[in-house]
Amino acid sequence: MYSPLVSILALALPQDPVLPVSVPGIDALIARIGQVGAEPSANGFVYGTSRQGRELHGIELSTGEPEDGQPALLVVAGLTQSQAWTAPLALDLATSLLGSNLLESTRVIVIPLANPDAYAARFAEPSLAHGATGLGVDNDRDGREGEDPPADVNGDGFITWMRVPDPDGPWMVDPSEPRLHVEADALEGQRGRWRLVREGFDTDGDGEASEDSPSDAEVNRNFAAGWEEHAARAGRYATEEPAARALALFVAGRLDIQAVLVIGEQDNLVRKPGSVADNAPDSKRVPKDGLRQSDADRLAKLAERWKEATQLESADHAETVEAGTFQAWTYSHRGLLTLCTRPWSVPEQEDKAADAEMPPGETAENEPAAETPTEAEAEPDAAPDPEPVELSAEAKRLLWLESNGRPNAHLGWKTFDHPQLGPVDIGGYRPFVLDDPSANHVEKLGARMGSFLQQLGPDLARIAFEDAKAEDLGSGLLDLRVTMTNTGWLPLRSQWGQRTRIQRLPRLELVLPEGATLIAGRTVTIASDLDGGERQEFRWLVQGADPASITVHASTDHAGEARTTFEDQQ
Amino acid sequence: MGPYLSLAAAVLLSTASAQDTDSSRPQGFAGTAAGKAPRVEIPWNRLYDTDELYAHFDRLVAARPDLMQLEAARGKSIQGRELRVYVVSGAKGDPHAKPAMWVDANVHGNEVQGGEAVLYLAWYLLENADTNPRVQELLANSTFYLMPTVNPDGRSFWFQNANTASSSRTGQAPIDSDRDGLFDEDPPNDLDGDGHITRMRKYVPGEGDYDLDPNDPRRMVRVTPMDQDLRGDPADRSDRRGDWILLGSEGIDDDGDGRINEDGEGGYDMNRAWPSSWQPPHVQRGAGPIPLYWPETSFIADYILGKPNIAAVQSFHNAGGMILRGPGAEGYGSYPRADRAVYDSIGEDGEHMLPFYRYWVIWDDLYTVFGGFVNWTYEGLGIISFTNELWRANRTYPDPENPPSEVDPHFFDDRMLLGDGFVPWKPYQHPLYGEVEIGGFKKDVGRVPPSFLIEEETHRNALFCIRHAAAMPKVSVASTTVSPLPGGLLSLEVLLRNEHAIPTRTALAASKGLGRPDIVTLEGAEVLAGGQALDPFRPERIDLVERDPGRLVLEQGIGGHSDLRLRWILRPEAGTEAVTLRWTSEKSVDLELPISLRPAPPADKETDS
Repeated sequence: MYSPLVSILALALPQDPVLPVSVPGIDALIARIGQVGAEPSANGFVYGTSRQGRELHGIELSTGEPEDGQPALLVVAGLTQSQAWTAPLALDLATSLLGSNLLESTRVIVIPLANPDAYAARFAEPSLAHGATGLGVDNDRDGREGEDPPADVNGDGFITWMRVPDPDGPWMVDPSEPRLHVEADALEGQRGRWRLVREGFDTDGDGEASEDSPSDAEVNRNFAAGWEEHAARAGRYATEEPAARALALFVAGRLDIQAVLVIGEQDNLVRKPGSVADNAPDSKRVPKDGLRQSDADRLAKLAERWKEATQLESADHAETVEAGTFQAWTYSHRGLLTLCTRPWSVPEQEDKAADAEMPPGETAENEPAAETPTEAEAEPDAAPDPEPVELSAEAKRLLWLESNGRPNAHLGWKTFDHPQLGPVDIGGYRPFVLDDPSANHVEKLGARMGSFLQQLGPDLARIAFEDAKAEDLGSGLLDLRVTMTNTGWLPLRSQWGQRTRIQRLPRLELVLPEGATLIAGRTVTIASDLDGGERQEFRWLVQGADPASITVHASTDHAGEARTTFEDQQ
Repeated sequence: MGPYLSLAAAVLLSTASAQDTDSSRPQGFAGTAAGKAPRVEIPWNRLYDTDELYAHFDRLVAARPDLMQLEAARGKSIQGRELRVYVVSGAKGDPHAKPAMWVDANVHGNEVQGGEAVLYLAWYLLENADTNPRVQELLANSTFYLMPTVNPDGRSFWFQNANTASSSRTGQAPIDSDRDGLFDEDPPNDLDGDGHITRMRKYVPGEGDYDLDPNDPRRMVRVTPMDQDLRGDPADRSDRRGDWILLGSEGIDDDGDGRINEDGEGGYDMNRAWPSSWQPPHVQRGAGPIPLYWPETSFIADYILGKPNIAAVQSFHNAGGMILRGPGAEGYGSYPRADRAVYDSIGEDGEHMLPFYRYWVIWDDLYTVFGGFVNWTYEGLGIISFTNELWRANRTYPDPENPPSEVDPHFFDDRMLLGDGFVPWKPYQHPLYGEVEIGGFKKDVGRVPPSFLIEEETHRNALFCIRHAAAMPKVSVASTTVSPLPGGLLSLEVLLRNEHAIPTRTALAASKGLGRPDIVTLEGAEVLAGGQALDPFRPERIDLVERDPGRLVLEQGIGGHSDLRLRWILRPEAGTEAVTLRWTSEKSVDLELPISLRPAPPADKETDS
């Protein structure tokens, strides 16, 4: 495959491929977006400005002279801070498509970094995982906004967690891993010992630490579909956050987009998403949320191909919340077929024997525990341990991290004399350690996703005319018939798109030469919805024209155009 | 262009100054109820295009710059017209620190007379600001933000072009309403060039569904569709077919798609664009792709979000005679009981102030609206908000003792307007339908009052706004009581009173945590404990706050016509004479007052502060 640019993630490969991939700083990433956008078959553009004043960049990939109505695929990544690494991944994807055949018939629009403020915040010091960069609210309802933010209390450069001794606290130590906590289950006779609080001071003296951060709204909770009014993370109104508004307006202005791929926290490709019946009734005039059955069926077929192309087979920790997300909006409000991938989560590892990352598709968690001897079984003569405790899921994830080049994934708990709360333990996961995959996981991932899109290209809906025939009925009366076909596999509009009616159906116009008369039929006709491969016949009666001089022209915004003259049928 | 330009020219010739009135003009009886000679004469029997409306507002600003200003922040409509907000408030105090009422109009371009009602409200307040004590008090304690037209493009299009009473509701951004890839390509057409879009009818003997009224051939009478069972009888059939068909609004098939007038100017609804209970266009027609999509709507949202002092909202529409409140959609549920009581007290008053108007809940009594403006201002921001639908045709037959047996719009037009509201049917050679007749009522009949009733309509609605504004919270300190406790301690009880009907925090605002809670602080002495006093007769019953008793945070605020009793235990330093109490609230005027710590003599326990 033609690929003049080396993967940005590959460039950042550490020596040990199991080490976490190195996520470039925002300036390096923006520079890289500029480089890809300057490639011959690419066109970089700016579609808006974030709340903190950063430009919002996109890259449009296309070769040759695009026809009118040429379909477009939209790829969006970098929507949330936890998925920062997907921004360079999307650039890898874009790079892999440069010069590909796909671009001759399809435009590909890549928005690699939809939320640059959250990305940039990842590099702030002290280090804090806090993806909310939008307008704040008065979380603790004391009449002051953002006055008690998280802070690096112990000065170690990380803002992590504090565990505060509290006889009423809900948390107890995880029996299988003393650094982790589980919620005490009173029914099992367990009692909590701790409160877990984000590291910070009690700046406002209300007895609570770090309970009022100056930023609350998250870009990917601020889109209009399922938006949660009055929820702090959702923003004051849908698309108030400039990055959400700009992306929504960009999509609303691009009627050529036929399908969307979102690389982020959610997944509907590896795991089969829920669905509702195509004809699910509205409730109090509001449609039922969810993927329509026909769309789910199509998605399931694409998902098979996706898994084969990308070798992604796990989406265990994919976010299930859809409210206010970009991908919920592109489907529910725009009717666009929307594919979501969560390309990595921390795998669960059963024990220390499996100490290297499995190739994609063979994650350790898939192996039956019985095939991997436990330490006790390996050393049968050793003194019997107390009853072995099964590792919790969280403990298995920590084990994986520590077995895969992240020995300091957990900072442990260190006692600290907090100025307001007294003695507490400060510790927990190192920020972002749960977010970033190993370098070998992502090495070819962008190109694999690109190859999926290349396979998808011919499946996009496109219109074409067939059998434009003119039958002479005598007396100069011509019976004109033409068949319009959707040559793709995807329908002209998704099942739900037929309800949202954002994409318009093909408009046919019969153009007659001077002196010809339309005896029957319409000059302008709007075609029906066409499923993949489906056909629709159109018919006119015209008098006083040579069939070769009669043109029918069909136009769309997103499925190409078609034009034909008529052939005399003797 | 009808009579509007010439009327406006006459108005604008009079100079915009305090010396607005012609000294030679007879002043009339200067009775209070009969009306005073105004400083600024505005003919109230007319409707004004956008520029004319703004010009009248500017005359008011010129006459009373101490009370009224044009807000510096101005938006632009989609066609570049200014979006203007005028601020009216008493000369003393920061207008943006007083509780304020937002009044707008004309989000639907054709619903024009709300603009005149907003103008009347401004004019009435200014004219009475020096003389009427209630207006003086209102302006001393509150502010009005007045937006005469939300949709100046739609307003101007309605005034300046041939329209119907219902057309030009939209803004003027081109929309592909018929989904054919072309924008606004098939609007109604003023075929006969008379400046009106009326209706088309065609004579089709024996094939129609209308007949002409034998007593008045201007009227069309629908012929009852034939019953299936009678189809077999040709004699019966011939009796039952009409001779005329109606062909809709004046127009042609501009884009050749076989339909007429299906893609006119614009094609969206800026009163479906607001963020609460918003739904996309496939659920709520005209909503736009995202909330606040149109520049007019985003300007207003930014403005209102920047004015947390807004405590009342009115948004004028037409028509139908309604005082509407939310919810707009059934799925929302119902508003909290306490807020409903406030709504009811104002809305039911309105039914008596506005003849034939009905106080209604939008979804339940009218129809479902997702993303309506007053739904956002209440459901999103917690502000008591109404939409009045101005003008109801009952006003043309105002005598309930003697109602007409049949509502005939021609009766009113013939007797009271001498036929000025109707364009007589005239033959026209239509390119598609052949010989037709074009005629019908003009655009200013049906949804706006006739000239002689405009003043009454605007006065009643402006005074309803004043009724609403006068209910905005007004907080005072009703009493303070200092009592000695052993060991040099003092007990201080403060009774705060909201004298008006609207709470300082609506129940919705309190339950959803909207805006800033009210805060009472006490400075000047060590505050050992404090909180809400639960029982006036049992001073020990205090709902003590856990921390910072010198700064009480009151999420619930003070209810309408309610008291809030607070009590603190203080340890003043020797010689401390007084402490300072501060009340801060987004929706009432902040208070700061010293409270003497000298215990009152027992006989005079509660003293007015």
